[in-house]
Amino acid sequence: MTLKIYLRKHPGIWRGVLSVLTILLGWECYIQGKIWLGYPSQVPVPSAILARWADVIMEGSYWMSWYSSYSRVLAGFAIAMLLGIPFGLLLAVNRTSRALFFPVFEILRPIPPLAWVPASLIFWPTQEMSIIFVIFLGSFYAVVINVLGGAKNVDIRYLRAAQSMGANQWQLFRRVIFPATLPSIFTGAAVGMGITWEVVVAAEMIAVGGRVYGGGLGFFVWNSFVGGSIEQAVIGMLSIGIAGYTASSLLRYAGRRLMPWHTSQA
Amino acid sequence: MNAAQQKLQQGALSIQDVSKIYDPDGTAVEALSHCSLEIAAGEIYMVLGPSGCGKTTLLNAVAGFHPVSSGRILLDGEVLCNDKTPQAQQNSDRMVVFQNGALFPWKTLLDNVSYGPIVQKRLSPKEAREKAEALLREAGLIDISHKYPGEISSGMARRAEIVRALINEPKVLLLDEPYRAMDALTKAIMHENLLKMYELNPVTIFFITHDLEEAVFLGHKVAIMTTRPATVKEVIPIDLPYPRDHRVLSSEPFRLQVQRVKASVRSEAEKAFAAGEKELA
Ligand SMILES: Nc1ncnc2c1ncn2[C@@H]1O[C@H](COP(=O)(O)OP(=O)(O)OP(=O)(O)O)[C@@H](O)[C@H]1O
Ligand SMILES: [Mg+2]
Repeated sequence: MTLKIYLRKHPGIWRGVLSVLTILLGWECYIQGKIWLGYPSQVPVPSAILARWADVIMEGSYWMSWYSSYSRVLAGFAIAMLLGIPFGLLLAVNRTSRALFFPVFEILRPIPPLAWVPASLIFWPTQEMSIIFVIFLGSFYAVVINVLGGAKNVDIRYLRAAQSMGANQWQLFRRVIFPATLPSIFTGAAVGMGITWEVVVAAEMIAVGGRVYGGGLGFFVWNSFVGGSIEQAVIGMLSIGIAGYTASSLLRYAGRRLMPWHTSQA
Repeated sequence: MNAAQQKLQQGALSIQDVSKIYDPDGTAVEALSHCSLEIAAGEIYMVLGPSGCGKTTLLNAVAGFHPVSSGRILLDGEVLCNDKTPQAQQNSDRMVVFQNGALFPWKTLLDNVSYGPIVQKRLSPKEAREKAEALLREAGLIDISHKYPGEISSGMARRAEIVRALINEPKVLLLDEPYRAMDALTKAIMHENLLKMYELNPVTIFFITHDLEEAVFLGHKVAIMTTRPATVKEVIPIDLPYPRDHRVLSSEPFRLQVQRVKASVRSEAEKAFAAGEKELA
């Protein structure tokens, strides 16, 4: 009943389902047709993938992969937000710290996070920490750059209005600069979240060799491929897609809750 | 002198020989040149000048947003700024309503309006909210007081911003072309609303505009500024009784006053045009 009402209010959901079904059907028909005409095909068909998936979801190791990747992403991402937001704000409001830190930041920023993997493995005591560190780096830059840009461009009229009304420095920061920067914070978070999934999968392929348990979805894909199960590799890929999508949706939801005034969502 | 004015003993603004040069060591843009204005407590004082002449520059100096290069500004005889302290303190005795509106987009109208008394700790949050509601009701905004500025029309937003200024009980309300880029009908409604708010909450109003009819309709006096660098060319008292409403606009005395101001402004507008100043919005 409530689901029915919900679906009527959000007609986009039907369209989304329809587009996914169309693609799967087209894919299935194309490959099946090719085989029927006598051409060999290495590409798995959706029906076989779904059948395999039904088996896979009964296996604990599959869910363990989800859990491992998700917790790495969340840990790296959370640290990036916790450090990146204050750091970006500091750079924006304090000229000295900008002069001090920004050049270093700009030199480190172009280094792709994955280039850090070897150094990180040596530097951090555990493999887990190295992966989280690399994920953290991946989203940290995006968060800082967006927060810095947002906080530096706060409309001076808001600051003047608040100051005329008697706001002190802390109130200006807390009640004007911070809320004015929130949309940029969420933009940075969304970009950063996207990067974390790219980084976690690659890092897991490189760094966690041989650990079926706790290898994560990246390892799941690689291991399936090496083991000769293309279906299962595709299942891993789709799982990463779904995981990334749920993470971004949660973030958008949080954005809408925290910024009810902000209608055009990043 | 009307009833609203008589209640007021505070809010006399004296601008004495104020000059302002932007970036004196570099490009040296001279925006104000020896401006002097005497504004009585409770007066609606319209500052009319061609675009780019330096009106906002003068308002910003009074508000304390930037320093003057020379001259002084006094409020009720007390020095706000002079040659020794060229930048006035920002204070809630002078509240600004900005050129394009500056309600905080992240606060509802009610929270925007109650913000001032709360940060100043002049009222408890509950008292501030009650007072804000009363003022919003007066301004006809109570039904939308829970909306965000992004959800309402610019006319409503500008009204709310005036309420946000008035709740701080300023001595002077500084309005920087608040109705710029509004159509004539909306403007007329805004004008009547402003006069009503003024009757209820008398305050000195320093109102910048480049709209001649707006200046004549609202003001006790109209100061006509020259092209940049702005200086005061002429101060014309507007001899029309309050309360004024839209019917005034089609009356003969109004038309004559407009003629009089137009004659004075025209040569300045031509000079501004020749100087290639940016068009009005
Ligand atoms: N910060 C600044 N630095 C240099 N020049 C400035 C600065 N601010 C304004 N000016 C110049 O000073 C002159 C006066 O500007 P001001 O904004 O006071 O004009 P205005 O009368 O308010 O114009 P408008 O009708 O466009 O609002 C303009 O020529 C403008 O370009
Ligand atoms: Mg201006």
